[in-house]
Amino acid sequence: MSHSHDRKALSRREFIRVVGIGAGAAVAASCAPKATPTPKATPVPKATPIPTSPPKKYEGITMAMLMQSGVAEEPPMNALAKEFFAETGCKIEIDTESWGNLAAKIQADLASGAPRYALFMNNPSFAYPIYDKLVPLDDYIEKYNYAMTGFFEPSYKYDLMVDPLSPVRYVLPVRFSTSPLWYRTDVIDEFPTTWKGYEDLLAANTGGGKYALSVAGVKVQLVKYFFARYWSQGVPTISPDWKVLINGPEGVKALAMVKDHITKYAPPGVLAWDNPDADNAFLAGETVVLESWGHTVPANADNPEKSKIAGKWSLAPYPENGTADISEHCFFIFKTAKSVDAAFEFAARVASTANAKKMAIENGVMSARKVVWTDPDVVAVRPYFPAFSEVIDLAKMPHAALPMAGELFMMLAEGCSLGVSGQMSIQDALDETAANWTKSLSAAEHNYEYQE
Amino acid sequence: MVVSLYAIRRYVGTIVTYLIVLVAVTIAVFPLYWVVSTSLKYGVDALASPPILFPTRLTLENYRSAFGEQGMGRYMSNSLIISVASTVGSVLFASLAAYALSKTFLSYAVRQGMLAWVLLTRMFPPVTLLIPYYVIVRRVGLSDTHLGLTLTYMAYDMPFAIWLMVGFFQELPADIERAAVVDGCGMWQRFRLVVLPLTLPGMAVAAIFSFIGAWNEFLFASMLTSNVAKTLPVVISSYIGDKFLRWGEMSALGSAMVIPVLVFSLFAQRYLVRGLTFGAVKG
Amino acid sequence: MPPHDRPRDEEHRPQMGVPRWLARRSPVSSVSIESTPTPPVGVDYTHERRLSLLFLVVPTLLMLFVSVGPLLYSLVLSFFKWKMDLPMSRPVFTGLDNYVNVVRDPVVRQSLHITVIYVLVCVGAQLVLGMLGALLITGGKRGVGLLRTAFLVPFMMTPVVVGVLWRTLLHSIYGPINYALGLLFHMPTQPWLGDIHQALIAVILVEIWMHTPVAVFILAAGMQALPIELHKAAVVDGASKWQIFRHITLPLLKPVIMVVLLVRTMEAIKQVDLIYTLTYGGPGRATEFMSLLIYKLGLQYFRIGEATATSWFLLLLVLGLGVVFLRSILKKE
Repeated sequence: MSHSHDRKALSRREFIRVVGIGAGAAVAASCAPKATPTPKATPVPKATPIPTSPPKKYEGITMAMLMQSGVAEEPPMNALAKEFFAETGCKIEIDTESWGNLAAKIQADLASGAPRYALFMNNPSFAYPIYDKLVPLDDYIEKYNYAMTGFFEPSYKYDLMVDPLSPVRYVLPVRFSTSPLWYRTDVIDEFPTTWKGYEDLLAANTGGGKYALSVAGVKVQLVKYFFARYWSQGVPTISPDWKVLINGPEGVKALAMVKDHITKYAPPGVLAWDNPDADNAFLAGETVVLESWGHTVPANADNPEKSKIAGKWSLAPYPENGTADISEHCFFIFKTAKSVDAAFEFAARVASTANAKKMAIENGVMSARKVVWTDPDVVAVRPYFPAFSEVIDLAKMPHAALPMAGELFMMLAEGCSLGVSGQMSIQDALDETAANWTKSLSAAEHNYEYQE
Repeated sequence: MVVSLYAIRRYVGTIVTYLIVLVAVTIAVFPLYWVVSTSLKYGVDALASPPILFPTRLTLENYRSAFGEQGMGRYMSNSLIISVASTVGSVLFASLAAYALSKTFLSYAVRQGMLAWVLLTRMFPPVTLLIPYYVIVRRVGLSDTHLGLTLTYMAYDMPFAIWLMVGFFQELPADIERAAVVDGCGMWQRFRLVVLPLTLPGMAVAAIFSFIGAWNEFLFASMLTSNVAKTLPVVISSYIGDKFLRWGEMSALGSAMVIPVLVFSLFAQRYLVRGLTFGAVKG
Repeated sequence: MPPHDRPRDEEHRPQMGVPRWLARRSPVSSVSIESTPTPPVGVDYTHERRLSLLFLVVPTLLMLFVSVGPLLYSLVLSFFKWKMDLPMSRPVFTGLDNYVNVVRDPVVRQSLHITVIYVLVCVGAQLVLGMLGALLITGGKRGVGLLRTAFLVPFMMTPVVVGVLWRTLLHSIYGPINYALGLLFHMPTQPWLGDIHQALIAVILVEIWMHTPVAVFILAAGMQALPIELHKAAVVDGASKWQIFRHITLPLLKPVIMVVLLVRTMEAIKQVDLIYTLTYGGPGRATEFMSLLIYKLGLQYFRIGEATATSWFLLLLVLGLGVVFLRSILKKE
């Protein structure tokens, strides 16, 4: 059998060769890109004729930052990172992640034992659960003389944690926003200031295939509509001694109002609409009132290519002291950052008044500093800013400093959706949410009075 | 009777078949048409009432915006490299494994254990494995690397490929292998020259699914990569924010992402078409 | 001896390695697992055995690393209570508490209910439509290549894009589907994903649309690999197309059909990407399938213990039902 033995040996070698080449190619391909230079293109340094300069302050330090992708702050953030690198030699690599994955990314990063991120920018509710891994910033604020003036009131009130009795600041606010009412000025002269007036207005503009109201009905967006109608009744969601109040009569009334308004005055299928759908319906002139964040409408409403209501719109607060919740983006710095000083300087640079103003003018970023909203240069480009800033002044940020804040929000979102969609009765939906809230809150001790 | 009943029945049957085909193709392809046409429309036209089925004005602004983004070239090559590498790897090793599993003399327990394991891993929702797996990958240093993601995809594709191919290998009559042995072929040769070509349809199917799976996979890609090895599905998901949706860019990138898959499946389908029969065993 | 006269039992047995404890004793030996094809004569067993084991090394190693480790870890975690995103949280051992809570939870029960409906309808439809599609693309007529590509299209797109795309298609104002329904059937605008009843239907339809190609192609590949002689012989014997299909093709395709059933069921149960972008479980909990529930528990609420326990509960349930189902199917042989 020597003949076949030879053939066996030959073919085996051949085969191994083939497999080896294939595997090697795959591995080589996988490893190849690592040989290429680092992802971020090295910025061209500003024209400095003098070749030698003193060693830059944070020369050679590279840190990573995580933020949400696609937000208005993204381009200016990248530009500022390049600027920072040119001036201080510290490289900030900005990773972006879709909003839904941010929490998971952060948790996984921390769980890995060797966290990659030094900086993070998004809602403060991301910070609450992990404050023990964050750097308290009061000392740095003092050290670098960081201007803490000119912010919206809620920022001073809500950003301090953990214990309101001995507050510590862990975040630097960058962006503030809330959800006002946008309306058509050619249809509505003066926006009503009572709920009854508002409902009459909606009813008058609905009928014959036309609908008055445009809202985003997906779960997470329903919450702000509930808050607006709930807070206008003057009650907090949690009592000072930590009893959950949302399933009380005020809560039921508020959610019933949401359901009523949506069912009667908004187009069908609105429960599947997200923010862009609602915004577009308003911009296309389909509806006369829009309850939404101000990310799309003001920037596009006067652009004839993107809107049919150029010059015919304005904004107003909710009736009877109603207000939606605040959406804030802020920086926080992890203790494991290679250089906390560098990280702080970068964050301070981004959130400084000067840069906030620049970002507002160029990118429409809604700064956390109220002064920017009324600055004449900014108002020239964004004339709706002053009115908007007044609405923000009234807004609230519930569950500040609570580690379970994000969770409470999601539970309320599910409850609102259950009630508004009719899957459960309003009372049952709120009862379930309240039960979930109580269980969630019991996970930690609360030794101070709750203030909304 | 000029035309027989039989002829009429056949004629009607053909028409019905063609109608069914038409409806099926329309249902299958219309959404793709919608995405592509959206990617070429201006933003205002994309969401218009009534919807614009045949746009009269087209623009490339969505493509410019999506592909002009920083790092896009790198993300595209990442997706390509990882998808191809994991497809080649998983189909190769899966066919070897399936061949081994279809053999008779391996211990029965080993074979059953392997198949049961394959079933188990495929059934488990990946989300619960995500964070522990991420920690492992980080510790090993494969986080944000091409190799890390490639190996992950291979590990998840192989079970399905093995399942598929074991079925095909077992459909083969043993006569073929007997004939090859009589001709003096060793195991490698039997595998390479005789068995493999006859199971090419199965391998083609496994390859198509592996490639598509890797190309479109999102969950693990988003967790295991952040910058260097970021893939296109992660980029696409970043167009969905908490307050916005960049539908224009998303449709542009989504449409573009279909092209490599189309090319690959056209290539792999040549092997599906072979319509291989057991001509080798004519009586 | 003409091919179609030769007894087929010993060699051409479709059985996919059915485990002993699964198969029942049956008069026809077709299901007995001992009767795998007899090995070719003249083969060096030990050498080949070693080689076979070598072939199995890479997949085993990979799967050990990627699956075994995390799977076992998740099993261990399911006996703990761990809220991962709370400051300074540590897992706390709670024994079977998580499992008890899962079984008692009405939300889980409702989720199971709609998941079962979803899986049964989707997989059933995909199998039937897949068979039709496979027949179409193995017909050998002109333009089959184009047909093949067309049928592959739904599966080619990224699930994230598909989710957003269908949300747009089903949009109550901007969606072409409502527009077409209004034009063709004078139907009023349907809320589709915005209504608790229609949402489930819509999600099922999208899932069928997206994954029928999988069934089509697996079945087509199976059909292509079948011996032509049988068909030829049957035609010679005067059988009609339907008879050929029912009595020859279908039985021979059994292993392939099993693959399709198993694969599609497993995938349908695991499906998250699509639902996440389509409805996120809403409105209310109308489309909150088990996979999404587990996703939310794990990556939104970070209740790791509950997430892993629910996963294992689902897995055991499916495995158990699967065993029962397979046993009954094989018994019929």
